Amino acid sequence: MYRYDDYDQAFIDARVAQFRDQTRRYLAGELSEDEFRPLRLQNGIYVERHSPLLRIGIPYGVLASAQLRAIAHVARVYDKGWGHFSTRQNIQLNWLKIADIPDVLAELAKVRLHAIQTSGSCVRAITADHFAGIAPDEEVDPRPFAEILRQWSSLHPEFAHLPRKFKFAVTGAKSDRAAIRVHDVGLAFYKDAAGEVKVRVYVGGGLGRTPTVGVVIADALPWRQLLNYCAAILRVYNRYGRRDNSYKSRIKIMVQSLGAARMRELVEAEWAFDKDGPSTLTEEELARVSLGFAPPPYEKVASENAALARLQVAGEEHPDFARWLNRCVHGHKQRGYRAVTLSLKRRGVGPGDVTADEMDAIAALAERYGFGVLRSTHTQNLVLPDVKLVDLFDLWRELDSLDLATPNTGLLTDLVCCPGGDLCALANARSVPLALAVQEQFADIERVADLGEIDCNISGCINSCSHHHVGHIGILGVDKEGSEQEWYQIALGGEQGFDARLAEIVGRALAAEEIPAALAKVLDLYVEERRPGERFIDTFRRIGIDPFKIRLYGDRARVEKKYA
Amino acid sequence: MPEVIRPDGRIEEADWTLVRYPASNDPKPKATGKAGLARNTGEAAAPPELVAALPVPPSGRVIVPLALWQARREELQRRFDAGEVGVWLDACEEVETLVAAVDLAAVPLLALDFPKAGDGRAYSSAALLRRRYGYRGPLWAVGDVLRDYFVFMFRCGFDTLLPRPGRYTHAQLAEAASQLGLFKQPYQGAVDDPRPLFRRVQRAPLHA
Ligand code: SF4
Repeated sequence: MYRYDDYDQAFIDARVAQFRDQTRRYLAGELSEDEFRPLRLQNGIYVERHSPLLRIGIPYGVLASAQLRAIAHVARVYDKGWGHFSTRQNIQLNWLKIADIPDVLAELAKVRLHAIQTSGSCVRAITADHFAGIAPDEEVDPRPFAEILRQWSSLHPEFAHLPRKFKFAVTGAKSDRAAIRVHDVGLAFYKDAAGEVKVRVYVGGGLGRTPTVGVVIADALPWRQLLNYCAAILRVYNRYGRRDNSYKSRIKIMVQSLGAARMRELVEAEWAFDKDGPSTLTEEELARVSLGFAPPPYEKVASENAALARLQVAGEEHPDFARWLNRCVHGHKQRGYRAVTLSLKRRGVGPGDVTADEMDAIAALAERYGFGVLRSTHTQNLVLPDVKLVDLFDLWRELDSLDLATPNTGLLTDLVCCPGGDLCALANARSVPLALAVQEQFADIERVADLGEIDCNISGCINSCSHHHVGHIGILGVDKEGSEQEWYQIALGGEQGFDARLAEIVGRALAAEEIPAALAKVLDLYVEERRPGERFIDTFRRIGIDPFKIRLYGDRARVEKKYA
Repeated sequence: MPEVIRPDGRIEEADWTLVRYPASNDPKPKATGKAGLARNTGEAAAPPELVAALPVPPSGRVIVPLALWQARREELQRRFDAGEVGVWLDACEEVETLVAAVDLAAVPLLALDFPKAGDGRAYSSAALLRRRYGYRGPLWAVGDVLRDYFVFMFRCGFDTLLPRPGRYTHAQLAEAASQLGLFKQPYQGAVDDPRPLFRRVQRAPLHA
């Protein structure tokens, strides 16, 4: 993985020193609450319901064993011994003291971790396809570009105070696993007919109160222009993005009001000034950074046949192993290797939550089975990217004993879920207990496997941290004035990927206790209606939302529709 | 006398007087949404009556709002020619308007306002003035000029920073000045040095 040179290290060390001084001035009353807020946010610190939360960046989802151990260490010493992997591919510690955070950041800096720009109105930590560099369907490894963007955007002086947060996501594969169309800027790298690397630039995607799918404003940007072009987008946004109302200040609102064509004109006009400027990327710099993402020393394997046959036999003996192979093991560019998902969606455990002891155990497994590297996914799981085919059975045994082998990746119970009302100050509802209730309702893994691939996303409020708008099933905590109960809205038919679509709301909100049963009704209908080979989302596209409305709300829905 | 800070960390007394609109000109928060106190780019900084009525000190060096310079140019031209009138731009006003209204070669000083610390438009305005329009004269940052952002301001082309009077003691400013060099080699190019790190230094090759 990318190794810091002295410049990188000096940069994060200086950042720790700077924040230590800022914290000192804040605690001494020299910095007001209002002045300190953006400073702490740009260092990843929120002040939440119970205590400050630190969001540690995992740039483009690549994490080393030593880094995970360092996180385990600070979680144990300074926090309550656990962390939460979020949909931003990063990890959050929830119970820190402000006065300790400079020390925590200093510990993390020793292993090249930081929390710079994981929050605040600036360019945020960049997310990527979690199978980048190993996916069989990949044309261009986006990680070197993501690292170049990380460096460029870190403490960029002109874009230090944007109207609002600004998120990049990158992919270089034929299918999009990074939800690039629901980010402020999504970058899709590909090779053109001549073999040149080009970038398709999507702009103006985002979820929240105004869910929007990003539009293409550049179809074949030469890679050397990446920084020049991104600077042009950001300058246009920095100058003209709305600042009078934070609900309207994301770039998506600007793109909506100007239209894609006008946005493109503005960006192109701005870009024209800097096209061959000094920030134009060079072969040398790309080559230098790419070296940090060179493949690990894989063992050459002539054929997979023998290993596959053995896995088959093991699978017949151990149906759980067969299920896990089927769900949690993914294709790999390199013959003889596979990527493995460690499911953090376990019965009785909040989605994405991991204890410090588990982190240590996972770090050790990564060293034994995968060159000491891990990936975090925006669906809140971890991945061992380079596991030998012949090691899969042993690895499964170990993961199973750690409760990290739930064979549900991509299935209903692979729930994406924000921390919600248990921790988050903005929440309308406690999404985690609901997620646990859904897990219980669907505890039968065979039934879940039969239901097939389903993205189910639960957000505790309209900020949509769990991307419920693009879940096949999206569940949103809503506020009902004067009600003691918690209420949720169900939406169906969202989809991520290059053809991202937003989910449609089925009907009035339901009380939290009603949700698991309502989901069961929705899925019963799917099972009744599906044709062979159809996934939930396919059936939904074919039959539409009305049958689901009627199933959930009875004939009243039909009557309402008739007279609507 | 308010103090200003310079890129090399020198602290000097401000020898210009900033002519500001009265505070009551701040836009009112809206009833809905999380309203911020900000005008959007392209909106007028102040109504014409206010511009007409704003008192300008009769002598000495003054920095007047762009709208005032546009509306009352005749009254100020003689002092301008004597090098005593600078012009400041509100964050909601466009650099292009400034460039059209003011002779960049003749104006003795320009200033850009940070109406609140989180409003980063003046960074882009400064960068444009320096790089696109080639302005080489003094460029001041005024308004919510906070020490934690001094480096950003200098990197974007400001050469003089004027924090709000009373915001910092001399000792605090001196401490801030001593921290200006904390980040020795920023990653990206900016106005102060347009070369990104990868063109500025030879970075060691990396190994997997
Ligand atoms: S979706 Fe809402 S409740 Fe959930 S983490 Fe985000 S802001 Fe908090």
